Amino acid sequence: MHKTRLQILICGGTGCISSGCLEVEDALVAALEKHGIRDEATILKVGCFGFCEQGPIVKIYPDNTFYVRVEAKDCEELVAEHLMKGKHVDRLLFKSPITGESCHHHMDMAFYKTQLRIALMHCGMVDPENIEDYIGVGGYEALAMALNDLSQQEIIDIVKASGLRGRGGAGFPTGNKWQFGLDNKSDKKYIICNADEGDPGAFMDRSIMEGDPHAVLEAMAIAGKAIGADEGVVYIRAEYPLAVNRLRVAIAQAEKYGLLGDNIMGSGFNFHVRVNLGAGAFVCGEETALINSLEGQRGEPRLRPPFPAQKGFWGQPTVNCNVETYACIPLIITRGADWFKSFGTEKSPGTKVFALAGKINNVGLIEVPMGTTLREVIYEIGGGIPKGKKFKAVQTGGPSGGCISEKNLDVGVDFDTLTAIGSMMGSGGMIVMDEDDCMVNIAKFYLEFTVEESCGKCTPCRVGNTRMYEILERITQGKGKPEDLVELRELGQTIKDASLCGLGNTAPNPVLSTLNHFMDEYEAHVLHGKCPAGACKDLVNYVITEKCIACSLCAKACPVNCIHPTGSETPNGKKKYVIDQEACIKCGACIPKCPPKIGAIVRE
Amino acid sequence: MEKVNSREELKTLRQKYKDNVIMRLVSDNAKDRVEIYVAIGDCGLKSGARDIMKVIFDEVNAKRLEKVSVIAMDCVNGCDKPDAPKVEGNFACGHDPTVDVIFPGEATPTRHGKVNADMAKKIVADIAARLEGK
Repeated sequence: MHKTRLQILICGGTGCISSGCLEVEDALVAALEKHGIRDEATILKVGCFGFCEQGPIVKIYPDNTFYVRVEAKDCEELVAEHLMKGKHVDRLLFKSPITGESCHHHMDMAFYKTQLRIALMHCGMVDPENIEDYIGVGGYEALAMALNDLSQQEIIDIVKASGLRGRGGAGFPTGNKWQFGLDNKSDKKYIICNADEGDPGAFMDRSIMEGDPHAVLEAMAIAGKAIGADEGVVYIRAEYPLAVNRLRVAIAQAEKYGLLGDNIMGSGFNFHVRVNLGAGAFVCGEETALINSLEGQRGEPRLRPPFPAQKGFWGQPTVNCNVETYACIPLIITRGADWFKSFGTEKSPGTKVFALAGKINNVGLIEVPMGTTLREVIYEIGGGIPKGKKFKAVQTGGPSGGCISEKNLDVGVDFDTLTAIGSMMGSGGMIVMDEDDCMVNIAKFYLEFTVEESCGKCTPCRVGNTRMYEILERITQGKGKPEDLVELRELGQTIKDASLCGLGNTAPNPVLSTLNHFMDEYEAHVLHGKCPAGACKDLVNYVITEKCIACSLCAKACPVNCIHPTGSETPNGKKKYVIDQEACIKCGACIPKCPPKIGAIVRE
Repeated sequence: MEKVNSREELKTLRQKYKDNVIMRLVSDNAKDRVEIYVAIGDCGLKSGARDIMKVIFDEVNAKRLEKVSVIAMDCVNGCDKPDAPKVEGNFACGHDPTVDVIFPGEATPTRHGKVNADMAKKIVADIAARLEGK
């Protein structure tokens, strides 16, 4: 039954690879060999466990021990103590930030306790480069059902009944999309997987493809059967090399096993999948621009209608869904629509994967039932704001979304509630901001992104967003005028109304939502020339007060040597220090250097 | 590499490859499994507990007891902590190899001391019988 007494899983996602998991794997093998127990353990590199903040993560089965921030130098102790003697290495266990106690099992951690994994069910659990693991957990059974037991309409009816909505952002009902794909008759149809994940801070699609690529491929084949397509394309950005590689490995393995390709499982159904690399333009996440790019044209959106389900790739009916949407499909088929609907809210059933980032303790990838409140996500799973700072806002929906303030933290998250409070689901990025973040500056950051990513086809988007950006730049430099705020609103609304695609329709959102929720910060910049958060460098001065004791610590820390002893004398005859405002780059490096009990440096 | 030509063949493959993942599936749902703990700390090692652990693991494997996990643990009596009170009559490290068995829902494990290979096999056989009895 078991090949070895132990199975050791190492997180092999992009995040953990950059924090050194490959070295950990080598060191672990070396330590096992040294202790003569290499044959007792199987080592597997799996997909993302989600707790990226604590990576690289090493999980030991059947002990269920969850080691965090493991480095290569820890592996000898891990083998000598835990594997040889059954002693847990306490210093590598996660410590609860509340009680300080060590957590042995990941389900003891607040980060995992309330999570519910559907799209990520097998991510971090199966070896993504070995199809045997996926088959072993029941993989491709949903495809077998779709090919043997279900008619095209029955597959679509299950997806419709599940209430699954597109996880790429807009939340369009997936079953309806497939129905259009089936109803539009043609000899040739296509299935596309939109893996052009582009929101800053979002990495759920990448993690699914890195951790469980077969789930996506299986779902694409099911979609192919449902609408009568025999060809699928995964459109993925080239900057995801690990995901690209694992998808290619998975396609090759599935073809060898006859689970993709011609005459799948002897059913007579053919379905071929290929991977198409994109150059990483944000607009290509928009489905019509994506199709243009696939056809070798510029990544510019087309007019809709006709929708892709009517005339899509090469003018043929095309169903295009997001990675996370596909990842939910196999379980919906095998476990049924009612099972899926038992999670989440009435209008948004199921779960959603979020990428937590920004000023939050537990940066990582999480999956929760729809309807979970932002407060639960940020304070329970996310562990709150670091360094005891005060929460200011959470940005959802990426550059198309908006900022949500404290007063809406108890809203249960789903597609409709987020739209109602002036933001949107988007692909599921959640960036948390604290008191040190200036909301005008944040709006400027997102707008800069969309200005750069606008394809330039529509004037309102190309020129309008640039004008908005210029206004924001003026405001953050202290040169804003009260009428700028009116103009921002007018421009924003016009751009939303007059742009062709989702990029332009939503680009002003970060500005409009911050204008709605954080007008006081805009007014402070424009009317009083102040940045309350102290983030806008042009509006901030660092000054050394009379409390200075001339210890010179600040001067040593200054990267541009602009702090000199040219002030008045201290009681013991030394010259107090003064910051040369002309030369100061306002980096703030001097403040923490000033001894707290002196506290002579202030930000004005 | 086998080519899957029918749904039945997929099922056969699934049975075969379930062995790859069964340890992870059962462990992730730990509240439903039987756990056999073998103390292989310093005292356990000296008494040959690693060999006993191997016997138990091989028996569990041979009987295909999917919902039984064999887990290594530290010394049961804290012998590495000189201050820890030694309980007379209880299983101190002097009774190694020590094996604990805990069924789902049980608060405390059943402890076996001075386990030899035959006893180890008996422990696994008893677990198998109890699981079948359910």
